[in-house]
Amino acid sequence: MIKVTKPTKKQLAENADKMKAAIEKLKERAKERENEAK
Amino acid sequence: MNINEIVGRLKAGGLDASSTNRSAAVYVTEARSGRAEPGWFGFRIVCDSEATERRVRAVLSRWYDIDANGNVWRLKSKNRVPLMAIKRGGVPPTPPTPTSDYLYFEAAQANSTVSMMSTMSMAPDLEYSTDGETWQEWQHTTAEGTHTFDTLTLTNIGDRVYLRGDNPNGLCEVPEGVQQPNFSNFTLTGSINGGGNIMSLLDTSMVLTEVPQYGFVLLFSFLGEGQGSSVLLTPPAMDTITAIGDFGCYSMYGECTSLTAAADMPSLNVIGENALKQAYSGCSSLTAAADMPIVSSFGESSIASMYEGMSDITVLCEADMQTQTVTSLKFEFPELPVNVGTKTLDTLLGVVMYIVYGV
Repeated sequence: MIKVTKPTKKQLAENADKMKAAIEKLKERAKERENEAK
Repeated sequence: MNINEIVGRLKAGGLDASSTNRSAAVYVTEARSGRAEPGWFGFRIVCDSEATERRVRAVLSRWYDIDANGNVWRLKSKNRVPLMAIKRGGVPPTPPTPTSDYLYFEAAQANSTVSMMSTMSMAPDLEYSTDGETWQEWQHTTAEGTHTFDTLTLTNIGDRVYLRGDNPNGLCEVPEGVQQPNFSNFTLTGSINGGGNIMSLLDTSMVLTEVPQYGFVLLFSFLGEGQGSSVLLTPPAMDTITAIGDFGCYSMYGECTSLTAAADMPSLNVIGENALKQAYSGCSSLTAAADMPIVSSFGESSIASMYEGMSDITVLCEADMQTQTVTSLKFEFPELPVNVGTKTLDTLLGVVMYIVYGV
């Protein structure tokens, strides 16, 4: 059986931070790739 | 070279060999390589035991070169096309039927949970079901530009939740002129076996076989600080996928430290640029690489660092040393070999560095 629960405010905030941090990492890697290509 | 010649030589060496009787100690069959060019294996020799395998090698080595992996090469062949593979195991496996189940997560531990976060401008369209028949919308809440889907708790071991949706452009978008992708990521806790066809996330009818560019970027990847995620034990099936667009599976399973096997892709033909780059980077429990036997097109950096961090990996290459080109290439983990087709690269060392280190 599965239970369904809505995210808490804390979870929403934590998830937003996690995604922002991951996106920043991806941007850095993209810049590194660009520099390597030059 | 024909199959009767091989059987004849094995019989002459005192072996119970046959191309028609699967129960023979040595069963010789024509292998399917799925490609029109000289195949990876022309024939497959299946032995019923280690002792039989040793005898087969001894008999065939009078005429052929046999490497440590049981691949049989024509002696003094200019092109080094492998003729046969010697395998252990009584009956050749029947080809698996493509996975038609919807993607699912099954609890290996009670109270395992499944959720997803996404920064796409519109949250992915997804439904869930406990039986694969009755579906409900998987709802989400949006805050600070991130959509968080409701947490689905699998109460008991063996509980399953199926997922499907219509997201033909993938679960990630890269707005024009912007460097960052807006991607989706599963949040899993507990211990979970994945299964079913991953393409049900993009197409509820699972007719779609091409992963769009950026489609599954970072989908199961561990985000955040720390040692990775030990939740996912097995990946969902990727066996109907025929092509992966640029960045399609980039870092898809990054640092899933309990994943023991990579998803086979027996239908995969085309890998776009960076499409499988770092796909299994940091998956420290892998003992089997993905089988990709019919890939004919490798985009730039398509498999760079695909298994980054693996210390126990062998890359086997056949090369023409005069022209410095690699004519065949495969990964080998301790348990299973994988065939990635043929690729021309500049140097042998370059091949190893490229696949394991991405340089």
